Amino acid sequence: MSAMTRHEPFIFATAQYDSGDWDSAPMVAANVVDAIARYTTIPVVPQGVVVPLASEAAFQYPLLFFTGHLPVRFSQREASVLRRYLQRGGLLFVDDHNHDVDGAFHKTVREEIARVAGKLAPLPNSHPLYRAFFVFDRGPPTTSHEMNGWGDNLVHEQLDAVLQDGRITVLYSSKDYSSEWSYHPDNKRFLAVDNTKFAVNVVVYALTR
Amino acid sequence: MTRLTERFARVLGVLALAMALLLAVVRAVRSSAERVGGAPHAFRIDSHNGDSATRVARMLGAFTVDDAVAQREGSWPALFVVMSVIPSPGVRGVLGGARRAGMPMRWWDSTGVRALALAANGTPMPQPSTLIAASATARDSVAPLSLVVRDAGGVLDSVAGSAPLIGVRATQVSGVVRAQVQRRGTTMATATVLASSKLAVRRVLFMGQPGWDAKFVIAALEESGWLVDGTLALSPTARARVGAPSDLDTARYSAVVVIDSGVANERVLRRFVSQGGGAVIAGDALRDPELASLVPARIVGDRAVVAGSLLTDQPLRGLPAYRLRAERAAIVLAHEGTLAMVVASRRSVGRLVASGYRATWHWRMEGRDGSMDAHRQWWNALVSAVAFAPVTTQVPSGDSAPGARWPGDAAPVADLVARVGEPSGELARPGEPRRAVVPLWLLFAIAVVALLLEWLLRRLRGAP
Repeated sequence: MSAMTRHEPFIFATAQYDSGDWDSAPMVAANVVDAIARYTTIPVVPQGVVVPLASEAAFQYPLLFFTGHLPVRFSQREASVLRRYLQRGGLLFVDDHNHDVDGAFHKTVREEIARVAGKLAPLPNSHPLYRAFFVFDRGPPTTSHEMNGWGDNLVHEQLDAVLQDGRITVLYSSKDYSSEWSYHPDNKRFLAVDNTKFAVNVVVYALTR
Repeated sequence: MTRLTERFARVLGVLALAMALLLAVVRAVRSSAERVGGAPHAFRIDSHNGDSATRVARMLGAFTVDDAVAQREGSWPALFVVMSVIPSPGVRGVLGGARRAGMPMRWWDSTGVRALALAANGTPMPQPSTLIAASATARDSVAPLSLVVRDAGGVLDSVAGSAPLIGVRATQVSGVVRAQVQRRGTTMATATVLASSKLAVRRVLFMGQPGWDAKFVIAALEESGWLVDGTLALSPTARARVGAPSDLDTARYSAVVVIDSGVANERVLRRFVSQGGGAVIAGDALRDPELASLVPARIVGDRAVVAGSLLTDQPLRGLPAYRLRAERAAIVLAHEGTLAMVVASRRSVGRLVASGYRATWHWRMEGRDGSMDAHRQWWNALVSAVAFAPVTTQVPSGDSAPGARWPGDAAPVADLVARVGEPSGELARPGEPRRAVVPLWLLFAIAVVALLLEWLLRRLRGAP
């Protein structure tokens, strides 16, 4: 990158909300940042940040990661901020830490998303998201947690999304990337295939579309 | 008393006689200048023959034959023309051709129209439309003119005055646009341009590094209706493609937007602009030494961010920005106090805009309600200001506009002067109010009566 540039670095932000357990996957940020720095030349801040969803500070981070196990109910303030955030072009990446379609998080957060942003619909596996950096021909990569005896024991073939003018504004995953990516980045060396590559696609998509 | 009256009558008679003689001499001199109808080869161009190039050409030919018959060969016949209307392009062409062939020509203007110009330029966004501008100037001594602008669909606008001016923005213009100067219902001059019902709006090429500003600038342009292409470098071997990026050429692109340094090639950019393309060079791209010779402004320092301004009615002050110094030929489009922030300039036939504002995405995301629209309009305005949008010129079938192929049609008076030279004089129109002058017959009558009275008084008192 040119020494003349003053390009703003990417900051990975995790949404903090009043209900539920927003901090259930504390290592995700470090792992995503590691993947961005490892595979791309996109400038990135080494540490992620936590942003209250009820604060307009959320507008400073056009990509927000949102996870949890417990039921989610947005406060009036959170709903207002999130609605404006999405209208202006922000992207909310929601991951069900339970990977359970019958779970409390799944049911409640989808209701809340429908109330604030519109109904989630399946995202085709041919979507540009799956070719934004790495190529995932079969759609979202399967996680080792999808059939670990917990949750619904299903391999979810697709992600869901809310689109606005062709752009993803809410990306919803039942695949439990929160568990898949929540480990210390140093331990990637023990993996045959880096399982955080899809996180690079999400970030690159958010930064370029 | 009788003698006093007698002297008064004598003086009055002599004065009246002298004035009558003087006036007669003046009128004789004037009429010799204006009496072109009596010249050997003189004719008037009016509403009957002003549109007929064939008729005028025949008249010129007849004059030439007359001279040949009169054995005056060896020199062209002198031609005297009075223009009661500004003639059609064909007639102007015939007259211009005769003059270029060496025929001495003098013409007198009795239209009262000193200038007429019409322009129709396309603007690409937010929706393709045509900006029509027409203006006319009347001679000071004549009655006010009416200026009427119309297309095939009817009258678009009209205005009266000594220097009428019309500006119309039309989203749909059909056929040929005409601007007509009229006085008392008579059309004195007509300017025509081909309607630009279709603008060839092309794509925008985006050049930048992946980041929030790239994302939101592209989004703002796409939401404004532009088709955006771009290639964003993600790694030494990976690129993110937006649209279908291709070589920078006016055949495909209307404008290029560069927001980062190290992403644009100066030679390619310069060639594009010299072809007529537009370039917006913003933010960190202004720091690119390779683009320095192309950019119409220089960075003179950082402009401090005014905290909280994003939520005020001056949100741009809340963005990080560079202070700019405009080059001599450039125009400052936006400034903050004495600081130049946005600068525009022409390069050959293309246009360039330099914007000192960086990271404008903060405005869209962190501004108050409506900031998204404002951010979108701002970027749309920047690109629209430079965009290359050639007009597709096509006369609709059935529209009889033979003159629409002539470049001089946009300014017929100027075209006439360019072809046949400046007029030799201006004639008052027959219908115009003439200056109040004492009639010649009255002066003679006064002289006769006064001298008769003086003679009668002398006879009454017995003088010889």
